[in-house]
Amino acid sequence: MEFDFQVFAHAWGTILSQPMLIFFIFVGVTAGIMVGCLPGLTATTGCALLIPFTFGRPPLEGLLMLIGVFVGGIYGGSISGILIRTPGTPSAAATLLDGFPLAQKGQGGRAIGMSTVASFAGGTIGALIMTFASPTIATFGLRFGPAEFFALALFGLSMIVAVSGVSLLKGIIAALVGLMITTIGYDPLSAVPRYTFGQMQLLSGLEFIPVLIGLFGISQVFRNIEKMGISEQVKTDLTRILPKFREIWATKVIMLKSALMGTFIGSIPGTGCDIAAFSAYAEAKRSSKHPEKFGTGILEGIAAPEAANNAAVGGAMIPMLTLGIPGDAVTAVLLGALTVHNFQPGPIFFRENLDIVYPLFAGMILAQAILLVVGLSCARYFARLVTLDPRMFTAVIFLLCIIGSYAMRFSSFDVFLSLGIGAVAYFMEYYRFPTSPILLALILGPLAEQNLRRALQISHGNALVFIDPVNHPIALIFIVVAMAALVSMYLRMRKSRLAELVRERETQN
Amino acid sequence: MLKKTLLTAASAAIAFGLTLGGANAAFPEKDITLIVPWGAGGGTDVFSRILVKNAKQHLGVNINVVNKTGAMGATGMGEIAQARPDGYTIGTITFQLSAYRNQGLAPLSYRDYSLIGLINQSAGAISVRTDSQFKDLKSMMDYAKANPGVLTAGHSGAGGGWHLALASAALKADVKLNYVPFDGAAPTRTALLGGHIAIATSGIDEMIEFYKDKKVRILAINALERHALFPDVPTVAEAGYPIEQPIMDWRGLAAPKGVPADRMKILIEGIKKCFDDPEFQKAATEKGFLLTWKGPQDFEKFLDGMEKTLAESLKAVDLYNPIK
Amino acid sequence: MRKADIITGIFLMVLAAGVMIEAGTYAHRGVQIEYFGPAFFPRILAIALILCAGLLVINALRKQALRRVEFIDRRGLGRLALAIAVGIVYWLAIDYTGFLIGSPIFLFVLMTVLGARSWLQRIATSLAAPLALWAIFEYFLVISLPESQVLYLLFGES
Repeated sequence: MEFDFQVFAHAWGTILSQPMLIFFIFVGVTAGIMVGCLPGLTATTGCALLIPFTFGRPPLEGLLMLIGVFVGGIYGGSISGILIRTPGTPSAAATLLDGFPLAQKGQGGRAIGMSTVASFAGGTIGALIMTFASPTIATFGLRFGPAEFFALALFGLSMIVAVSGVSLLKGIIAALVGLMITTIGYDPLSAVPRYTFGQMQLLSGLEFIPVLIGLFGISQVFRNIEKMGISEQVKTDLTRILPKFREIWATKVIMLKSALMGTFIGSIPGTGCDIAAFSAYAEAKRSSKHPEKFGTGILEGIAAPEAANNAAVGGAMIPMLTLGIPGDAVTAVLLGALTVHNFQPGPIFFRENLDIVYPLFAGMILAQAILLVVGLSCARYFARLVTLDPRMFTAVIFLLCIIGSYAMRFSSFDVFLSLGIGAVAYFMEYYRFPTSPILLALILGPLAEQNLRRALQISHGNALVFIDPVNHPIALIFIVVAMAALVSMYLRMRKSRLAELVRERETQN
Repeated sequence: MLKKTLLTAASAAIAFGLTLGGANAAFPEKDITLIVPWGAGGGTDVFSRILVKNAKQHLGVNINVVNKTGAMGATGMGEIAQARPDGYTIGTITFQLSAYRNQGLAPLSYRDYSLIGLINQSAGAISVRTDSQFKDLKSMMDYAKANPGVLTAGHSGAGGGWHLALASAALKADVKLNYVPFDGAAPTRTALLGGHIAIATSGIDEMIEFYKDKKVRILAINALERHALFPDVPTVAEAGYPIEQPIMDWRGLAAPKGVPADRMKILIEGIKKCFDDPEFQKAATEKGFLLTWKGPQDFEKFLDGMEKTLAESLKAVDLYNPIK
Repeated sequence: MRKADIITGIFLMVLAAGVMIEAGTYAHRGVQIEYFGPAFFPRILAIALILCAGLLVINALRKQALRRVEFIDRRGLGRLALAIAVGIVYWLAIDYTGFLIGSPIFLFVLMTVLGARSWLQRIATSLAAPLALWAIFEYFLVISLPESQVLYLLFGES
């Protein structure tokens, strides 16, 4: 398919000449940010819940609103991640690694500002790539078979090194436990329920969102409750709420690189914004001149994942629009919405309904601009949240976490699960077990296991498929890159880790 | 003491009056919730949403879709069965309900519901890529017979309808395939298009876009009759492999057991009107959903037969593990 | 953290052994995928975990464990236990109280446990936050939060 500039220009004309369309994108973005902020309500839930609102309206209005929700939701997740260490959506889990430490230093506004700009930059780049390269990228995505997916998962798991902190061994242990958690439940490959002990609740495994809320949100609430009165109240530096232009400009290379990575990873069906964010974070840390500062609250650590996960939004739209194959959970919902409006995304839709497809592209780019305006104007108010009386604030966040775990699938079991995981994670931090590797394992576990077994099934048990340069060059590349990243990062970080350990010993003795 | 008794009596009377008022009031007087046991955007979800889209015209109130996912649909279907039987909570029940007990997964069956109606029956399709060497089912089966275990056959999950259908057919024809399970229909389709598997089994509606775009060739459909949208695709029997009772994917609506009969009547009539809505008929047909209407009695008969057919297939692939 | 690492290490080894044993019970069930069945991956994980946990114990015995940098505050832990108990009671009772009645009580009690003293602030916050949440869920997202079963029994459909 040739890109038709005339039709595309016409699409922009359509959108800009209809204030209602702009209004609906605005409503979508704002609603998305709100939903994304609330722990437990993801961009996916947001889109699903708003589908009925799109009934009885022209399809373009509804679809643009949903795209706005998608864009806003992925961004909004970072706000609660930064401020209360509870990622509103899974894709924001990498953002809190540096975002929350910044908020604790009273620079939540700076962190949110950075996140807004990075989201805007990443999202715009992703949307532009989606506009101009959809068909090319879509065919590439199809080359991902089981062997390639497994290699991709391995590549993702190699990031454990980047998020493990001081003890790599403890990071690996945490990841292994996380991988074990993903084996709980019904195994779709053999139809056997594993580790469910006859409990129907466990048949679909541990629900991801409650575990996520437990790992980060609840454990932080517990910590705040225990430390209440001991630690000083955070004082937000109100004179410098937003980051300086110079600080943002300094991250331009990271943002660009992360956006490209994000679009690419997002466009592979079956992966999503969360994997994109973690990959970009690890890559930024690997290539940084000062990797040891990651995790202590630096702007690069926010720029990378936020640019990547918003770029992945555009990426994920590519296979959905061109092939009818959703790139991740949110696009699956969008696909459903298109279907409800009597469109059937797929190659034919993409060729013949340019009057819908191009405005969607244009709307996506416009949504980024709206996001920038809304985000920056709200950042200063959000930033003050941390200065509220912690005795009240913590109680309300506790309530939010409980409701968030419940709302995923209206299950009290999930509430108690979240509390239990929270308690475990709370003690893990005191004993210096990092919690992020668990999250990484939860995201990548099913991808790794299922595709490992599938690939071996197809190859009749031949494990060499993963490094076969003729038939599976992509898999080989991923594995080589993963190994290289692992080794180089390990060597570089061992140095800084040793220095850190020595420093620790000295201060204690 | 007297005061307290009076108070109790008074509040009891008020409560009684309110309850009575509730029962006498016209049904339905507020929006109805439709529980969908599968995720938003999936086949069942889309199907349910287009069905109840115009509920306001037909029932006088909206029907709101709520997705309650998990446990292979058992969470949502369990929730429908246990909902307050006041008619304000109904739900979509799906194929898996026919196998839960026999697969040992969940203590649920159609007997736990007041059935409203069967609305969709989907046939299975066996597809290959257009550039595949196989032009029909027979050539594929012959090749598989000559080269046991070489052909990779993707399906949307072990124990699912399409896996059971293909596996029991292959067993009957004494053919050995290399089964590659995927987690749902979408990844199966992607793998077929990407050339990672040789053949794929799925619901026929899952393939419609690629069939129209000539990206896949459908060798046969697992049904008793040809499908109107796929007139050139033979049935499995026509392709030379007769079956008695094909395994069908199905979707229907049900309410919890114990909803008063007068309310059930209103619900059944209302849903039937939604079903007859031309807009729904058009939308569903275009998406390849094979529509059929069976009222409560016929639906029950159908489910009884399906449970028995599935039990046999489950035994054939060694997945029979019934809950006592 | 020597002692803690040793205890954790041993616990994890026991856990991995449990995973291993349980894997044996279902390894031969289900559709036989020819090459790698349901127990394949859990077994790899269990072996890896036993090795890593063993290494953790050995490191600790060789006095190479990381040091603790933070210590749990005893009084804080008591307060935390109380707060968790309040949370559990809140959710156990939610089907009886309903979200709109249970949540303000929960917040009020929790704030009191956490040391908030101003009556006005406690009452205002514990009423405002649940109401706002409820409004968002009920009207904007059209999701029903738990309703009171007791009120339902008393007053019927409402």
